[in-house]
Amino acid sequence: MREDVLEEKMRRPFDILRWRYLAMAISGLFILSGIVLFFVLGFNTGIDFGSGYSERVQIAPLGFTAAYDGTENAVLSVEDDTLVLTLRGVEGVQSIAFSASEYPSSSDVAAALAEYGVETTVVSEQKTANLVSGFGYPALLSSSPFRVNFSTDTVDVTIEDIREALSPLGSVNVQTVGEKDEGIYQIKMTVEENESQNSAESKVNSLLAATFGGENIVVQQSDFVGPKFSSSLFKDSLVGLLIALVLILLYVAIRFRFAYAVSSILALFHDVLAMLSFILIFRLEVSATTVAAVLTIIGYSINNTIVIFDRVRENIKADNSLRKDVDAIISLSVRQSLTRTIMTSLTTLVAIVPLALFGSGDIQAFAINLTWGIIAGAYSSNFLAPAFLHYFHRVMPIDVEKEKKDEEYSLV
Amino acid sequence: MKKTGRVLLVLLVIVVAALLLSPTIRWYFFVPQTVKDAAAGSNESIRDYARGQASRGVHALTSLLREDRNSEVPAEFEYLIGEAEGQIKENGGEKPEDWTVYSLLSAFPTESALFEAIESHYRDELLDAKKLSGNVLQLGLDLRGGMSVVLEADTEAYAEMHDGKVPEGGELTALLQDDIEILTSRIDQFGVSEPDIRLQGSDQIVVEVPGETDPERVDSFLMGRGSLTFHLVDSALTNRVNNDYLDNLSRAFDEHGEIIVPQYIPSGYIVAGYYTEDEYGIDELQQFVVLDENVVVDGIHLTSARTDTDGRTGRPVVDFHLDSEGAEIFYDFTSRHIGDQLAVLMDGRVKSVATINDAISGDVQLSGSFTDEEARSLAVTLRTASLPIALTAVSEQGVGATLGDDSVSVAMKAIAIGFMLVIICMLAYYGLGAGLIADAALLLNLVMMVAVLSSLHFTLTLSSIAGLVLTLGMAIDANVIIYERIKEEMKAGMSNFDAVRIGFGRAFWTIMDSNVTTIIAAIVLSVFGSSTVKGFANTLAIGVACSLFTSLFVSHLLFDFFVTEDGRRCVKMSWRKR
Repeated sequence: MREDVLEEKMRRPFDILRWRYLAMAISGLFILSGIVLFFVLGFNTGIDFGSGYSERVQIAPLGFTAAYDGTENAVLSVEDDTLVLTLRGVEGVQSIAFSASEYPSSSDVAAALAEYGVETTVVSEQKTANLVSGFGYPALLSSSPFRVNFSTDTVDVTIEDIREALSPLGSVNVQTVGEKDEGIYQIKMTVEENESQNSAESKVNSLLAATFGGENIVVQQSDFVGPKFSSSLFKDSLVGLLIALVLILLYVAIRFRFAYAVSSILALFHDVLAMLSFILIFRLEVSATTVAAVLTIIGYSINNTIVIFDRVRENIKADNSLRKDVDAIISLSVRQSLTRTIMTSLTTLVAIVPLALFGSGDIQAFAINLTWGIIAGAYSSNFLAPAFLHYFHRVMPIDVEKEKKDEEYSLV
Repeated sequence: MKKTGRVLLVLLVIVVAALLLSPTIRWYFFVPQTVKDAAAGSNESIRDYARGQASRGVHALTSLLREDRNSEVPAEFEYLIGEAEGQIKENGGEKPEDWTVYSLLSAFPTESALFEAIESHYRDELLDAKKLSGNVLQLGLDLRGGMSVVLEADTEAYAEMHDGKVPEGGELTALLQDDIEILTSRIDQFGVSEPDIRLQGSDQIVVEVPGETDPERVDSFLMGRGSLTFHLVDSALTNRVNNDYLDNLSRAFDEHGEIIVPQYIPSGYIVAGYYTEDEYGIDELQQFVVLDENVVVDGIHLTSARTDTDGRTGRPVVDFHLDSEGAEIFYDFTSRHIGDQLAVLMDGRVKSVATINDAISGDVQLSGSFTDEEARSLAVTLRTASLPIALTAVSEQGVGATLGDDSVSVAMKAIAIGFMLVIICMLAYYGLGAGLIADAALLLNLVMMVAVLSSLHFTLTLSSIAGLVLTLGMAIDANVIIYERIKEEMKAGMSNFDAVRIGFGRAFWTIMDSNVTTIIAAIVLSVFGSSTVKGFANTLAIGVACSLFTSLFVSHLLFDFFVTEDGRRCVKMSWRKR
C-alpha cells in the first residue's frame, strides 16, 4: 500500500537506532549519578514531606516600651483594644484599663502608664485600637523594657518583602494571615536534623530584624509542625502508581504486542528516574507540586511513546517489502512522527516556559520540573523507546501472518 | 451520522457546558463583594445580618415617611414594591398609581410585616449566595488560601473516659496522628479540597482548608463524635415538662443554655430538647422530651447509613443498617415495647421521635426533622470513625495562599501568556484555516473541562492546573497528529477531501490508544492516590475525555464543513502557497 516508504528510506538514510548506544549511555550515566546522590545526600525534602518549623509573625511598629522596677508585681495584658495594667502589691490587686476610646494614641497610653510608676519611652505615634495582642501577653514588667507594638492600617510590608528578607534561608513557605493590612505572615521552613526550635526561630527572626528592625517584629506563635503527607498516604499513591503501570502494560500488550508494552513501560521508568535524578542533581526541593509534576510527565511520556509505536505497528502491517527489516521500520516511524513530536513538545513547552521564567517559589520549581520532564520525555520516546523495541523485537519476533489489516476508524 | 445531527450534538454540548459554568460565572462576576462576605458567615450570622438590615430598613423608611410622606421609594427598597403588591392582593385594597413611601408602608398591615418582608429579602439573597458559593469552582488552599484552624487535644475529656489517665508525649502524638488520618478522610471525602493538616507542637493539629472562614465548617469536621443513641420516651413526664416549660422558656434554661432538670424528674431520666430547623437552618426548639437514660442501641452498632427520601412525605430519611449484635438487641427491645415511643438522640438533641409499631431488627429507617444536608452529614459521621482523642478548636483565622499570594498572581499571568503563545504557535504553523480550527477545539476543550470541574464542585489547585496544562497539551497533540496525517496524505497526492477522511481515520486509533493509556493511569491514580494526586488525576481523566471529543468529533465536523467533496473549498494546512 505504501510504495513511497522504501523510497523515502533510501532518500534519507538517517537512522535513529544508530544512536542507541550513545542514548543509553547518557541516560544510564544521568540516572546513575541520581542514584548515587540519592544515597549520598538524599532528597531535599520540603515542608510538605518532612517536619519543619512554623512561625506566625506580625510586622507591627513599636509604639512604646515599658519598664518597671517598683516593689509591686506589674503585669500588662491586652483585651481587644484595651491595655490593662495589673498591679499586685501588699495592699491588694489594682487593675487599670487604658481603652482606645479614652486613650486614642500610643503616647496617651504611655503617659498614663507613667503615672503608675511604669517607665515608658514613646517610639512612634500609633493608634491604641491597633494594639497587637498575642504571644508575649500577659507580660510581667521588669527593669528591661517590654515592647508594646501596634499594627498598621496600611500595607507597608508586602509578602514579597518577607520572602526577600528570608531569601538567604533558601526555600521558605510564606503565606499571609488575616487581612493583608494587618501584616501577619505564616512562615514555614524545613529545619536541619537536630536543629532546635530556638535556633530555627533565631535564624528567621534575625533575618526579619535585619530588614524590618527587631523592635517591629512580634512573634505570635512558633512551633515545630509535622509533615503534610503522612507516609501511609504516600504509600497508597505509590501502590496506585504501580497498579496504573501494570494496567497500562496490559492495555498496550493487548492493543499492540507485549514487546511494545515492555518497551513503553521501560521508557516511562526512564522518564521518572531521569526526572528524580534531575531533582537530585540540581538539589530542587521535593514538595507536593513535585508529585504533580512527576505525574504530569508520566502521562505525557506514555502518550508520546504510544504515538510513535502506533506508527511502527501501522508500518509493519502496511509494508510488505520492509516487513523483515524491523529496525528500518522503527527508524522510519520515528522519522515520520518527527514533525508531530517537535510540534507537540514545542507547544507544550511554550505553555510552560513562561511559568518557569517568571514564576516564583514552588510554582517555578514545578514549571522547571515540567520543562525538564517534557524534554526528557520527548528524548526517551524518540531515542530510548525505539531502542528498547528493537531489542524486544529480537527476543519476541513478529509472526507476520498474525498481524491484522491496518486499522482505520472514524467517529462520524 | 448526518451533518445536522453532528452540529446539534456539538451545540448541545456547548449549551450544557454554558449551563454548568453559569453558577461560577455568576459568583465571580455578578455577586457583589458585600454579599459574598456576608454570605460567608454562619447561618446564625446571616440571620443577625438580615435582622439588622431589616431593623435599619424599617427605621430608614419610617423616618423618610416623617420627612415627606410623598417622597419616592428609594432605589434600595424598590424590591419592597413587589412585596407590597402581594400584601394588597392578600388583604384586599386598591393598588396605588404611584408608589410613594406612604403608599408603600400603608400596604403593610403591621410594622412587623414590613420587617419580615425586608428580612426575608436579605435572607433569601444571602442564603442563595451561600448556596451558590457551594456550586462554583473554588480555588484551592495553595492558590487562594482559606481558613486555618488550630485544634487542641482535649486531654481532660480523654482522661475522664480512660480512668483518669492523661495521655502524654509519644502516646498523645500517636493519638493525634490517628486523629489526623480521620480528619483527612472527613474533610477530603472526594479528594478535591486538598486540605493541609499537620501536627503542631505536641498537642495541637493545624488544619487549613480552602474557602471562607466559617465556624460552622469547623464544627462540621469536628462534628459529632459519632454520638447517636436510641432511647425510650416517657410520655407522662414529657407532657408534664412541656406544660411547665413551653410557655416560659426562660425558666427552662440556665445562663449557659443548659436545660434545668425539674425536681420531679426521677433519677435515671434525662430531659432533652426536640429541635427542628428554621429557615436559616438553625435548630429551633419545638418541645422537650423526657427520656430513659438507658441507651437502647448505640450508634456504634450501625454498619451503614445512607440517605433516602420518604415516598409519601417527600422528606429526607436516613436508612441505617445495624450489625447482628445491634439488630438482636433492637429486635428484642422493640418487640417488648410495641406502642411505646422511641427517640433518636443526636449529639444531645432529639432529632426524631417515633412510635414503635412492629418489632424491628436490622434495617431501621429514621424520619424526623432532618434536612437533606443533616441526613447526609449524619451518614458521613457514622461512616467515618470517631476521633480517638477529642479536639477543640483553639483559634480560627483566614490565611492567604500557601504558595504565596504574590507568586500565584504572577503564575496566573504566566499561564495566560503561555496559553496565548500556544494559540499563536498553532496559527503560525498551520495557518489561518487549520490553525483556527485547532484553536477553536482547544478553547472548547478548556470550556468543557472547567464546566465539568465546576459542576462537580472541584477545588482548583496547582496540581489540578497541572492536569489542565497536560490535557491542553494532549488536545493540541491530537490535532497535530491529525494534521500531520492529512498533510502526509496530501503529499501522497490525495484530494483534499480524501486526505481529510483518511487522515482522521488513520489518526483515530493513534489518538485513542495514547489517550486511553493516559485515562487508565488517571483513573487508577484517582482511586488510590492521596489528595494532591487525586486532584491531578481527576482533572486529567475529565480533560482527556473532553479532548477525545473535541479533537475527533468537533475538529472533524469543522473540517467537513470547509472541505467539500468537489474540491472547490478546502482548509489551508499551512501558510505556504500551494
